[in-house]
Amino acid sequence: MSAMRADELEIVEEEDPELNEQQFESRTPWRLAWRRLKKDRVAMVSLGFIVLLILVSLFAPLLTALIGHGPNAQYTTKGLSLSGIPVGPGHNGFLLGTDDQGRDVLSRIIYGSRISLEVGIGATFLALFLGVVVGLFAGYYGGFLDSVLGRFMDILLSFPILLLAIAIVARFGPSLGLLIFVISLFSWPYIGRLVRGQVISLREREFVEAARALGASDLRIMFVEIAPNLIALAVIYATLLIPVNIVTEATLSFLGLGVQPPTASWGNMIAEAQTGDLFTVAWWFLVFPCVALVLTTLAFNLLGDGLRDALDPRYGRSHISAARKVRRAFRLRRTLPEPEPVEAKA
Amino acid sequence: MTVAGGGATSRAEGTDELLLDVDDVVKHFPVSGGALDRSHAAVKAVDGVSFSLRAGETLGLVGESGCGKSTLARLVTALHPVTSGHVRFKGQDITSLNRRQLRPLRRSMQMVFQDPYGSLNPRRRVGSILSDPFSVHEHLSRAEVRRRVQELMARVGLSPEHYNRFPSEFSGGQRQRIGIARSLALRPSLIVCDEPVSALDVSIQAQILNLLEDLQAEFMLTYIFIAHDLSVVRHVSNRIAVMYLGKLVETGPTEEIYLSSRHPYTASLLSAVPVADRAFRSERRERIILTGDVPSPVDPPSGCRFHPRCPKAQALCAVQEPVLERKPGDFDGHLTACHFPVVAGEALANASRQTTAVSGSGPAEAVNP
Amino acid sequence: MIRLIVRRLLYLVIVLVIITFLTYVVFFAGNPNNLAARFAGRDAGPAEIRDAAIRLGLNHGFWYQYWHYLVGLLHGNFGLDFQNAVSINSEIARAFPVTASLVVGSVILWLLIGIPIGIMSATHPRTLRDRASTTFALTFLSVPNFVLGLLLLLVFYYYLTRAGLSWFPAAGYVPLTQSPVQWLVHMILPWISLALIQAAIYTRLIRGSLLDVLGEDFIRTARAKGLSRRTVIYKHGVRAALTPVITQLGIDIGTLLAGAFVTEKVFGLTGLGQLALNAIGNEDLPVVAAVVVLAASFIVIMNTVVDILYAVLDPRVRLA
Repeated sequence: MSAMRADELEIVEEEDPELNEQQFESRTPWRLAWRRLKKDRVAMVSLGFIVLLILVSLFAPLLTALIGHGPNAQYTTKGLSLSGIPVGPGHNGFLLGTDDQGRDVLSRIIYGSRISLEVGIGATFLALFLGVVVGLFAGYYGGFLDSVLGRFMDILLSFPILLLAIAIVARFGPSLGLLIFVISLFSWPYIGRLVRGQVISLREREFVEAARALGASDLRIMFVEIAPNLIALAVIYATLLIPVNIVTEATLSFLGLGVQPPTASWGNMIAEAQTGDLFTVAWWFLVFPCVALVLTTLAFNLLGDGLRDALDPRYGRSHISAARKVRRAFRLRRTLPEPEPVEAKA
Repeated sequence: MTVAGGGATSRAEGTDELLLDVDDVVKHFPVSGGALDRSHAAVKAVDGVSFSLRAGETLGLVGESGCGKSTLARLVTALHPVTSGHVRFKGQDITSLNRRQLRPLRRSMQMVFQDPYGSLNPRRRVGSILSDPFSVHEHLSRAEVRRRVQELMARVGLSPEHYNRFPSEFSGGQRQRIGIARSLALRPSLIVCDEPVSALDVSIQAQILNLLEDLQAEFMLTYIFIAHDLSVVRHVSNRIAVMYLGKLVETGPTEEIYLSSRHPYTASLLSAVPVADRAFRSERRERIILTGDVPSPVDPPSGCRFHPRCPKAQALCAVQEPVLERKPGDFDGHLTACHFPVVAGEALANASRQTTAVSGSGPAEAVNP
Repeated sequence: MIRLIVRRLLYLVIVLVIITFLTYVVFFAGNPNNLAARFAGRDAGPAEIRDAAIRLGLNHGFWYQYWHYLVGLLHGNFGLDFQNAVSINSEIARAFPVTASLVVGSVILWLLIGIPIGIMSATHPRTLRDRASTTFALTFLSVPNFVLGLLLLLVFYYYLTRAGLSWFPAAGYVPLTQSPVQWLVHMILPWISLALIQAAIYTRLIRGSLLDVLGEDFIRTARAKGLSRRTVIYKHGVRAALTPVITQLGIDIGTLLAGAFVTEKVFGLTGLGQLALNAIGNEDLPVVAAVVVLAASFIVIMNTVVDILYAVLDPRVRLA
């Protein structure tokens, strides 16, 4: 099997989706996943967008310097019309127009991407850390510890995140650190439950028993044997959690509980556009931050979907086979078998 | 008393040193029937098993799937705690030890698992998997660990350059070699092989069995070799123990069991073995086909557990449990738990047909297809 | 069955105690002088602050205060408003119907959109219709509801009105008792903005769940028995596929309520969310605490109801 060359593998993969799992097994898991992901055009476009976004937020100062408008600079003469109305897109060198205070919407969106990614990715990493550790312990030890931690996660999950965020921010005052902390506090149980479920099935595997037979400690089994098998799951769900957390940040900022003006965040830009129904006269002021927000969340969601297919081929296959079973069930009616449709990747 | 042995074998018979002494071990797994279920049912996986093993010996443990042989393996290697009974390893009772106290013992007591796919972590490289024994038990430099791992790989017939590969890049037989290398790493005195070849192709089985035999000679290993297939066990074992529903029904020297088994269950297992060996063909009895399914270990039959399926069963068998003892005319060390042991030349196949009519259960089933 | 209900209810009580406790700690544990000073007003002297502290019960120990608060809650008393010194109960009574209309209406709408599309998508897997519904789901999944709400306002209120079609009002709330038609007209856009996103999630959920169910043996048996495709899907398949959806519904009540609070801000509806946000602006902590306790309790109670309902619907759960 290991003697099979790469180009032969490709052919097999095209021909029979059922067979190729075994062929795929003969390669390192990560390289295989990457190869599957590369075939997924939607996921690759999303990945490209995300990389671009990260570059934009990293080089925000450089970019705004090139544009010539700082994110908080108010261009009261150039950026506002005589009656104080914001300038539309493309006018006076403002590519996406200005807001009610004569600030460049594009520059603010660029700086806002920093906040979104900082909070979205930061909170996700924190949640990932908490979720994996708690899920590992709950799933591995089971019993009383598991029921206590499991209940605790259930309670946190049934809590309305936004409501508690409101409560905590109301009590302690808004700040970026608190924002990341609050968002991760209520998103880690999501990861924790998934990890727990996975660990429960992993701990029964023979390789765990083999480690125990060697005299490995519980911690060693958890972090050396089980944890590497969680990476795929963690990568998939972290990618899907990032957009959720970005939206939570934007929502909190929209409600005035997140990032405080004048610091630009997509959420508070939208809130500013809403005050006094300003967006009815200057739609760009509302629409562009909205578009930035939606494209970003969409890109992460699509990438997460693609990663799930690439890293966990069984997931995608189970749905395909379910669809097949349905067709088989309903084919009873027909006398002639219908041709098996090609299972194309969406 | 003379040393047991139903015939001269080329294999080492083992020394006089008692390595392992299993004394009436019991393992019950509680059955949880939900919160409303108040009954305290338990799967009686192993229900009072005793045997001992001398250094250098190979004990073949045979039985149908679900008879408790894998559980017994895990009790012997202290992977599961026993419900009652004792396991003494080199004179030390390991059933009362905690994990910390067990750790030094793990070095000399290892296990090879059945499933070469499940027993190797799919997300770790082979080199890393094989360095586990050293990182758990010894403090060696990275270079030294690498040298030892590659030495091990070479010893079990893998190329040391494949150090950085993932398990999925190896075939089943190669994976089982990795599993054997891992168990061998710390130079143990006892290796429990839990059906090490049953997941492999027949052509590869022989290679693995030969490897195990070579290693035994080289490192003075003692094996407990578990299988559901008597033909595999015959090649490697000095002694055989046959298990049925959590109990030993017959144990004795390999050739003795093959030539003159006394328990009807053993006889039926043997009759299912395809015989290629001319020497045995003359001895081959008519095929005995057992009826019915293996009863549930939650609620095993009364008396002799084999009686509902036994072609020789009589009223006594349902009432009184037979003791594992030496039957008249047998060598010392050949023990059978049966009220009405098989005598040479007896035709069990006919008796089996009678019980089919009596029990009236489903289609007749072969024990070992 | 009864055991299950009792256990669930017991769990409910424990969670409610935890919620009130956490809320109390977050909001009221701290320096009593600060709280009293805030209550007494900006120009209060030391004597007035002391009076206020006594009125608030701040001179007692922490556990006594918490107990007092809990007893008050049990009597349906949320305490006094810092800002206006009026009873919080009356403010909540005013805001509650707004949030309730929003939540109930959008749940109905979201199920009306989500279930049929999900069923269609599952019964025609990998067709154009399925692809279309997948696209619909992924798009709306990625749109935060305040963005959707504002865009709806921009298009349906502003552009339509400017085009001379004033079908939709800008914002505000008209009580149902005052004018049912106006109530409906004012609620349509908020409902849509809340329901579309959730509906997107539910189409995926129902699709997956129904696909799994339709792949099971009992469905093939039903077909083999000679039942029509329609009967099999609707009588056997959908019923079985809806059970996990009901569980999810319980979980989503929280998301929905939070979404309702945001939607209230977008559409200028004076519901519980607006009440809480205004209170935060005024640093009026008891009001925020009251809304948090109320909403969290509502969510937990809904979850319990769903759990019990689930057990009634799915016989397998009853044994566990």
